[in-house]
Amino acid sequence: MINIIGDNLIFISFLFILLSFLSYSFSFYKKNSLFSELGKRSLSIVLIILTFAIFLLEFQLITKDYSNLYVAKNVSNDLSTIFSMTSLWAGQAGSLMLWTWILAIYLFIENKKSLSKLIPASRIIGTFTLGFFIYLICFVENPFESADKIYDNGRGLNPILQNIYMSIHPLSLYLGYIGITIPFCFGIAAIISKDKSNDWISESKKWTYFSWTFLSIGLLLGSRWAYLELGWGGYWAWDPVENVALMPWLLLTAFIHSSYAQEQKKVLRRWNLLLIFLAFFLSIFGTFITRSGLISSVHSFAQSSIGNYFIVFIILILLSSAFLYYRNKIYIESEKEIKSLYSKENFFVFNNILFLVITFTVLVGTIFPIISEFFTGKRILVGPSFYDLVNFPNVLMLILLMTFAPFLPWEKGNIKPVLRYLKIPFLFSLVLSSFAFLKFESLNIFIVFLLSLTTLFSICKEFIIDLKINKNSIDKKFRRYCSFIVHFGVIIMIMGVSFSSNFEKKYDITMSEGEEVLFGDLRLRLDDIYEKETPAKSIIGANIVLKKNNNLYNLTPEQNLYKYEGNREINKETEVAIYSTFLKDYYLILVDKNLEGKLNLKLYINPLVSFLWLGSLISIIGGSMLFFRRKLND
Amino acid sequence: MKPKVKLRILTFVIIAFFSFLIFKAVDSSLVYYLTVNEALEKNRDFPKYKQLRILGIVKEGSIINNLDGSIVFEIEESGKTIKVKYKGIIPDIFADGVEAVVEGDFKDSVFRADKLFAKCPTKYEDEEYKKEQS
Repeated sequence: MINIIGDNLIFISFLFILLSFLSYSFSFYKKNSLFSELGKRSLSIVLIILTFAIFLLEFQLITKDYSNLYVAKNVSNDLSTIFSMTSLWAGQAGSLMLWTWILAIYLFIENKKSLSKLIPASRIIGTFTLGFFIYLICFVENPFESADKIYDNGRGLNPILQNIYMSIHPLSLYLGYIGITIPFCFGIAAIISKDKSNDWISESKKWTYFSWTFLSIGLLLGSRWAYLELGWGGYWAWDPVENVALMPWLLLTAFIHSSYAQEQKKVLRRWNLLLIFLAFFLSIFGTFITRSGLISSVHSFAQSSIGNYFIVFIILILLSSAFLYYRNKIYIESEKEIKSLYSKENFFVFNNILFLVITFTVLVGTIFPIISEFFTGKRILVGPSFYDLVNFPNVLMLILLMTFAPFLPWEKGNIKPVLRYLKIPFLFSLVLSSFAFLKFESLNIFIVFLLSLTTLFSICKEFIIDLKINKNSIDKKFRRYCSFIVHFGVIIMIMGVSFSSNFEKKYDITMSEGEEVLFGDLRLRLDDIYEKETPAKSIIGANIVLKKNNNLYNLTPEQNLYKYEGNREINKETEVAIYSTFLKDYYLILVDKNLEGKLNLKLYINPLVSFLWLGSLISIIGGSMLFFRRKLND
Repeated sequence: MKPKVKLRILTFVIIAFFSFLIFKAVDSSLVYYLTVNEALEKNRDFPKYKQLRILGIVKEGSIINNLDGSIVFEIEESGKTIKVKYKGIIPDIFADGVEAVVEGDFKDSVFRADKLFAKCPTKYEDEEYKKEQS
């Protein structure tokens, strides 16, 4: 019954979005405000209907109504209410439903408050995109499809996905991904309305901050989940699925910088349009790649027909954007040119080039198997060392830019005052990194530390000067401070990443009860091995004491074997035991108990991983401050 | 020189540098990706020093746990199998009958894997489930 209601609701919303799209298009070409009003009303109706539908689906998930195929596939009787709710985005149809709903909310918000003259044109693109997604959930992947019989129990959610990080992570990525649609709509709107002002940049500003922040949160939660739950000792593997989430983030980061230059100095207008098109394209392309099965990933999104629809949509977007861009090229020319090499705006150009290079590298790495198969007939892929090799010098250059650009003036640049300003931070940093070099004997670490610390100290220097001397300038420079906070976090993160990837230590251990093993100043003692049975699973675990500098820590790594009645194929779950300190993580995995009754364990000692989480968190705080501030001001 | 020209030259230098780097990096990190049958047939076509990555289904009942935590198992595709030896982290989802990817190289007829992946459970669509229903 509910299935039929839900199904019909989606169909009605499809009719209304069609109406909305047609009336907006008509009103734009005929300059008729009556039709614009009609479009607006129908869009509101679409949102109301979709909201209702999504509540219905949630209701079915929570009450475990197995007459719905989607519910039967994604929840089970033993699944807690909270994970039943988040199962809305555990499967394809539900994810698309959520995607559609969020996009409808975004368009509605933009519709309500903005008075920009770009709005009519941008609504055409917005409703078109929304229409595409409603079409998908209506005719291709319907979340209200009925199961042909009513099941007693559903298929359920995999135990390793039952984790709070994993349940928020996709939602956060979606919020970010979908947010890119709005700046894209404004960009296209600027082109088709031949608008020579920089309105589209100021209109998109808050959306780019918003998307950037949520994409960052999504990426952070994803890697945290991988680190805690997957049990391979790392947080990033350059897997295609991770890569496609990273690419829009990279382009958005580039866009935030160059659009700032356009806003302030009216340069890089055309360039910014291209960037936002690319970002939107990559966000859709990412969805396509992961869902179409074109690229094999460790995450198996099984292949579905949905890929074909995305191809059509992508080609449509590419062709029409390119067509509009070239037809209206003269209208979107920048008003001004870059005047000096050592100006802030020019350093933003370099920033953009470097970010594009990273994006391109990640893209090449991701689609390499397809390219190589096409040209040589052999499927060849590139390993993680590919990314490391290209990105390492790139990131170094980016840190260098981060050191200089914030202190360079706009337009007429002069590098000398900046060099003078950076002298003291650099000297401090040189001393500290020399110490680091003596201790770790690694040139890479020396360079990373030298550049990173210089940037950190240069930021601190400005904060100190402002606190002491220009106390009343603090309010005026809020945006600048936010960007400093983001930079600060990024630098801390980079230090964490470079350290943990260079100095990770790995040990294989086989030990029996009561045995003690020594690793330098570290002792591991296996107190006892326990085996437990619960209704849901059998557990093998161990009580292990880690002793360092006379401090004792208890670690209990476990291996769970789930007993399912359902048809979930995965039933093993490794519970990693981690003892995190500020400088080092001790990461212990129970591999198995062998026939002699001894335990096989793995110990990873990962230095400075805490820097990675801390740095990302600081950046995210900075990003969200930017977003909230803009909202208050304009 | 005008700043615009300088900027162009610098951009060109940066891009040239990274293009070179990308080519180098591709060359040094190549991994051939094959299915079991392709690996058995074409093994001799691939330069010995390059890494191979092989995709196959873990043969039912073939997993043997050794005392030191290493495992030996067979991956198969349409009846043909390759024997794999692996020591390292075993993914949770690794079990009889799952799709597994191993990376490493052949030592005689045994494949020495230094990486083992099993397909992750982020399943968006389960074809088997549909089949079961119908």
